Amino acid sequence: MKNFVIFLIISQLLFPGEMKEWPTHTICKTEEVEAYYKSCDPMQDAGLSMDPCYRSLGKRLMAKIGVILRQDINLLYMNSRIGYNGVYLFHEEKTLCEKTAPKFSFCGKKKGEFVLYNHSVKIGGPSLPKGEYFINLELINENNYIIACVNFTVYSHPTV
Amino acid sequence: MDHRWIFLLSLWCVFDSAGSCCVEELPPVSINCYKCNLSVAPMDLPKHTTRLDLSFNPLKSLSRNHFLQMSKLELLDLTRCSISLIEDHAFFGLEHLHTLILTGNPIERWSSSTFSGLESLQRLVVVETSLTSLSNLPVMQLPLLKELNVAKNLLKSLFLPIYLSSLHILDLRANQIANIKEDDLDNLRNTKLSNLSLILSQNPLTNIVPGSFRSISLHMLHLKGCFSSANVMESNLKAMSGLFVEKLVIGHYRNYLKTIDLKSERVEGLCNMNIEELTITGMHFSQNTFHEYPIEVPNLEFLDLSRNVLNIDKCCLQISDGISNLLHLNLSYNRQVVLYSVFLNLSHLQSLDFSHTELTNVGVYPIFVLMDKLIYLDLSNTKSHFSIQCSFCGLYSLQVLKVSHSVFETNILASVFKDLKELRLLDMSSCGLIYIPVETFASLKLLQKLDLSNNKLLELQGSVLNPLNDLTILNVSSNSFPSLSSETTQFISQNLSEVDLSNNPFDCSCNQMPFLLWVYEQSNRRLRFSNSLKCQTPEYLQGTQLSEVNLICNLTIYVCFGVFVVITAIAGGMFYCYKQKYFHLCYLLQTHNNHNVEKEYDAFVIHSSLDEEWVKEHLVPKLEDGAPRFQLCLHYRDFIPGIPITTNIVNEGIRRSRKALIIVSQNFIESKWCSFEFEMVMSWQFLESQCGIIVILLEAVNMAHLKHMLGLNKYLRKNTYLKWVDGYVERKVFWRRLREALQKGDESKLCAPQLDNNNGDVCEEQNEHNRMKL
Repeated sequence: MKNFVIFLIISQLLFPGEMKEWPTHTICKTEEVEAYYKSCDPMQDAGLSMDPCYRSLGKRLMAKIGVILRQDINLLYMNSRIGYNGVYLFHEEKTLCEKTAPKFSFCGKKKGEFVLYNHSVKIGGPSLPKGEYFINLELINENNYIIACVNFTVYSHPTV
Repeated sequence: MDHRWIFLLSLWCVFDSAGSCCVEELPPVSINCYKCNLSVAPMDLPKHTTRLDLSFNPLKSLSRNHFLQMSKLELLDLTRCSISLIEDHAFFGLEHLHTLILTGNPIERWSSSTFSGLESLQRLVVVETSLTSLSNLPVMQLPLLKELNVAKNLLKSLFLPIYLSSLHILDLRANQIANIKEDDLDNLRNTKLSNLSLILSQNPLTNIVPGSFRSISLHMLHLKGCFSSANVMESNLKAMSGLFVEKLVIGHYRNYLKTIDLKSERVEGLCNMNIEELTITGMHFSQNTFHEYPIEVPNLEFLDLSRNVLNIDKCCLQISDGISNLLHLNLSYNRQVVLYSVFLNLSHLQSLDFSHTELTNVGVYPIFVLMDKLIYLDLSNTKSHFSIQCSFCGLYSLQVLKVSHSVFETNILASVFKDLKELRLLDMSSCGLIYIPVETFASLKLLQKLDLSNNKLLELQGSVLNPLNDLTILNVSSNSFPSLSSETTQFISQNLSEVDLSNNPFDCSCNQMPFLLWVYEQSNRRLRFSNSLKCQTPEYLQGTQLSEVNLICNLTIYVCFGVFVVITAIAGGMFYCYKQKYFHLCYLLQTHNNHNVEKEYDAFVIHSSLDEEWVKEHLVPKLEDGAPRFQLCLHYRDFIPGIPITTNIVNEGIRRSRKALIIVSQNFIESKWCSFEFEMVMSWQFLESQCGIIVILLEAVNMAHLKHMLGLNKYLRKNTYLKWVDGYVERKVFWRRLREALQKGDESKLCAPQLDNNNGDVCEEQNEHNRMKL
């Protein structure tokens, strides 16, 4: 997985995005759960990995995201839209970076810097019920510029 | 004019040469060539370009005198241009350049004359440029350099060359500095400037040699995410003793999970530093350890302990003992703080922030009673429940109060803010308020900004706001009021410069017309007004903008008014045309109700008094004396004296007669009474809906005159009439036709079809018989 991320980063550096459509990448694929993602940022692909691959959201998982910044992120907002089996469920907005209180290490980084966020994430909640999930994640900065945009598709098929 | 042409021409050249990708942004002249796939910097830019963004272009290398022709350039952005080679004097000629950004370029070699010519450069950004040592960076020729950003490089040492000691900001974030040696900062020690802000965050500091920071004076020192464990932090902070720093930031970023047991030794090192502002943030302290170990930093004025998952039992024993000069305290985003009696000792505080930390004892005891110097108090999201009237007693200097997401007992609202005479800002959003008593804001004479959003207010009385003379900004969005009273709207228009009324369930029916009109007016005024005001009721207008509804409502009124005017005009016109007939009709209708008047006359004779001779000589003898006998109503004989003529005409003449005999002659046409009588008869006929008018044309009449009598003229053209002519036979026929006409519709006379009185007796018998039947 690590090599994969590095490959992505290097490919980003070498070919700063001219592609309109980015390939679909696999995050993980087990008997219980399959997760894929695709960058929806016209400028660049995103590197992403998740380990280990659980169906349960309650457990901690290591998440890696790598993005080259096209603009400063003194302020950063995260918009996520979540759908289930083709039906739109809900929409959430979160402030990740504030100017006075940089919660995350990537807050306040400037244009051109490479952000590699590599931390354990705990989403919380029960195991995913069976079905197909669609998650659209957008990171937006103070100028309403899309820093990163990723579409996830997660298939959950419990074995029980 | 010439200059403008040259400028345009040169611009065209730029676009032509740069493949129309670069975008010019004014003012000041700034050229953005972001991601234009340029391999060389465009040579023919407008001469006075001040900002040039060449980021994300594969320039690969910068040749000598690369930017020679852009002498006016002030900012040059070369982010991620894959530059590995910068030739000597590459930036020569950029004598006005103050910012140079070289982020993300894998520069292999720096030579001593790389930056030659950059006499005005103040800010240099060399983030992610694979730099291994600060000494390699040839910045000694930059006399005005104030800010150097060397973040995310491969630096292993903090050795500061002498020429960097005059910097204001040195950002060494995310390098690989693990050890700080005693002589690394020697060059700072010898200068007495304390303007340097040193950012060492995200360096894996493990070993700071004691004495490295001795008698070093800094403006700011950032040490976020530097210490991998509590022990490392403890030893390194101790090693930093002797440091003079105005602002010190230590701590971690989010997702740092290691718990730190906070013992007094952990931050003991801080006691040997001279710190004015201390921020410890992002630490995951283990529970119930904080209160035992006071922080002793005597000169501290500002203490920020936000986001540390702190659980403080007896606030704030540890602070009140150790830090006597403290003015600003921030305990926001922690777990729980219990305010204890020692909290009263913190009476010298000027600002206090408890937001997003669960608080105990606030609103139950008059806990702020001694804090007469406090200016800023943030109690938002503290789960506070204010139940005593003296919750904010003693806060005489308070200017900012934030209590959003708190609960207020309704009975204390009227007097809870009475001491806050200096208050400028009050945030009471999301407090679940349904009703605000009139006296609530009575003491807040200086209040400028009031936030009442996300409550459940059912109305906003003008009398509540009236004491707020200085109020300029009001937020009442997301409440439950359907409209505002005229008193409130008047207050808003007169006093405020900004108001937010959005997300209320507005009623857009036309009873709210004054409010809707007011909303419409505001869109044309100086007042900054909330944009999305949407109707909730009535259902068909749900989701419509208030200002648009306003117009539709107006339109209905205008349409109604228009229709009313048209109808009135038509009615008026009709009334004018048919005025006479109308009167007649009314007059008749008045008496029409009791219409069971016995018809005692067979015919009412309408004639001009000048034709009376003919009536007396011919008509009366022939009809009244003949058989069957007709009873005529004659005005000279049958009208009752002492009654108005009109009444006589209607009551005696028209209503009691079965038919009307109209004797038309030139005199008739000229007579006003005759035409009146004729009109009345016509109207009566209309009411009774039976044909009862017999017209006798006594003499030839002037047709021109006849035309003036519209009704008669029309009648004569449409109906058969009798003509009085000379000659025996003609007269005979005339009388026969007249009798027939008079008999028609009267059964009593049916038995006497004959002209002359041959069977008069039989007929009388028949008449008797008929009367008995009736």
